[in-house]
Amino acid sequence: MNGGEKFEIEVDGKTILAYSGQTIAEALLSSGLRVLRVTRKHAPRGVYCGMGICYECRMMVNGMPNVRTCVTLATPGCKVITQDDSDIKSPKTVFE
Amino acid sequence: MREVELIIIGGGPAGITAATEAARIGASVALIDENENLGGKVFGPTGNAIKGSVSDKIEKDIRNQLLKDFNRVRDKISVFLNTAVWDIVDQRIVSLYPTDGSDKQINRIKGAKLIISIGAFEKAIPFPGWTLPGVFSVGGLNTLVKKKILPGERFLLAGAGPLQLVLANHLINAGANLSAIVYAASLRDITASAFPLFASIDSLKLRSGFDYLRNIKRHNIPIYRSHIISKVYGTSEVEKAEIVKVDESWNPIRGTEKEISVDSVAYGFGLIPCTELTRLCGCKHIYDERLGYWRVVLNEKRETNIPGVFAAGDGLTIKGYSAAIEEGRVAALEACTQLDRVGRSETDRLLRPALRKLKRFNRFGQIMDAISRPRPGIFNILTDDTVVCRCEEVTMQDVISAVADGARDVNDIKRRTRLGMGHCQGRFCGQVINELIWRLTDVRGQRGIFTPRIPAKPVPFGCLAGE
Repeated sequence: MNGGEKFEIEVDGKTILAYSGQTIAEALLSSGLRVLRVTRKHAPRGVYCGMGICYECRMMVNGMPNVRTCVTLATPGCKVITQDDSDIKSPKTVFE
Repeated sequence: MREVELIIIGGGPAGITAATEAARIGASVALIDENENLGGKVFGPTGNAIKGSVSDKIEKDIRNQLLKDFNRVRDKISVFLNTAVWDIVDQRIVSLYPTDGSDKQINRIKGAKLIISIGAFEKAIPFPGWTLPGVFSVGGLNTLVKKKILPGERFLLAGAGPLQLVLANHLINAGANLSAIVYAASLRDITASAFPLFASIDSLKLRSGFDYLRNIKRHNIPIYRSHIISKVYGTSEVEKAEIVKVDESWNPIRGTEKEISVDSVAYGFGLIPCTELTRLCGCKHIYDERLGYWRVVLNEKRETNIPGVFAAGDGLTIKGYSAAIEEGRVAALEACTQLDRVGRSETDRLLRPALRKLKRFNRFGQIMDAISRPRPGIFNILTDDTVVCRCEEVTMQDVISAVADGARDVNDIKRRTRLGMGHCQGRFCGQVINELIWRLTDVRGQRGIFTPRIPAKPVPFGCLAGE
C-alpha cells in the first residue's frame, strides 16, 4: 500500500520507510525484514497469523515490550527493536 | 461504572448489524472492537475479494449498505475501537483495555444483555519448521497481499479450504511468483463435495469461484492435489519446502517427497470460531465432529444457555458474512425483545425471513468445513522436535514424555509442559493436543478443552489492578 503519506521509522538503529496506514509489521516486511523476535530457546520468529491472535510478531516499540506489530500502526519516528527473549529464564511447570 | 442495555463485542458484519438494529429500536448500545476500524476481516478497509471480481462488487455493495445503515444511528452507539476485552464478570460486566497503548478512562462496562460476535481464526496443524519466519497462516498472508505487500519472492500455498483460492488470486494479481498450490483434498473429495456445494450457494458466488479457478489455470500454477507440506527448511527464515503425497486418510506416502524452492509458505485448513469469550462466560460448548471444532450451544434466537448472552457470526459456526449479518440481526432483535424495547409478535415477524436465510447458509458452511477438515494421517508429519505449542516452545517430545508420565488430559498436559500457557492462550496448540494424546496412547479418549482463564488476552499488570 504505497498510496499514503511516506515517513521514516527506526528499526534496530537503522532507518526504513513506512506509509501511513501501514502496520509496523507491514513496513518491516516491505523492507525485507522478516525475523521480528528471538525466543527463549533462541529460535527466530516473525509474522504468522497477521491478525493479533498468535502474538508471534511481538517487538519492542518505543521502549514497550511485547507489542503486536501486525496490529500496531507505524508512526513517524517510532523506534522498533527486535525483541530478544533469549535471556529470559523459562518459567517452571507446576511439576518442577 | 458505565451501564448500557446491550454490549456487543466484535465489530464485524454481525456486530455492526446487531448494533444498528438495537440502536434503531432505541436501546443503548456499546460496540467494542480490538481493531483500528470496524468491519472485521472481510468488511475492513481493504475488503477481501479480488478487485473487479463479481465477489468484489457484491461485497462492496453489502458493506456500503451496512455502514450506511450503521452511520445513520452511530451517534446513539458508544463505539470503543482499539479496545480488547480481557474479562467478563457475572456474564454482564466487561473488562476492557486499550490495545493502542493509549490511556482510556473507561475500563469496565455493564450491560443488561451481551452479544459476542468475535469472529474466527485459522485452523492449523503443526509441521516441522512451521515456526520459521516466512511461514504464514493463509489469512495472515492474505491480509498482507491485499495491501500489496509481498513478504517474500517465491510462494507456496498449502493446506485445504476455500481461502487458498482467494489468496492464490490475490498473489497472482499482485504479480507474485506463486510456485505451487498444495492441496490436501483429493480430486475425489472435491468432486464429491461439488454437487451439494452447488446446491447450497447462489449463482454469483459460484461464478466468482469459477473465475478464481480459471485465473489459476491461466497462469499455469502447478496444483498438487492429495499433497501436504511435510517440512520447511531454513536457518533463520524459510529457504525450501518439502511436500508429500497423501492417501485418503492423509497418511504421507513414503518415497513421494518432493522439494520446492520457496521462501514463503501460507498454510491453513479453513477457519474455526473464536470461543474464548463465550467459554469465559461459562456458556455450554460442544465439539461438533462434523464441523471439526468446538462451538457454543445456542437456541434458534442465537441465545446461549446463559439467559441474555448471545452469539452471532463466524464466532458461532463458520458461514461467512451474509450469515453473520442475519445472525447479528436475530440476536439484536431477541435481545431488544427481552429488554421490552420491541414486542414479541413484531420480533417474530421480523425474524422469520432471517431465520429462513440462515438455514441455507448453514448448509454451505457445513460443506466448506467438511472439505477442509484435517484427516488423522496428517499427524504423522510431526517429528519429535516439531514445536507443538509455539508460544512456550513445547515440542512433540515434551508431549510424548508427559504422556509417558501418565498425562491423559489436555489440562494435565498443560500443567506438566506449559503447553497452552503462552501469549496466544492455547488457541493453536489447543486445536491438536487431543489428537496427539490419542495417537500416543492408541486410545480415543474424551475430547478435552483448556479451562478458560483470565486474562482472555495478555494485559499489563496495571489493568488487572484496575488502574
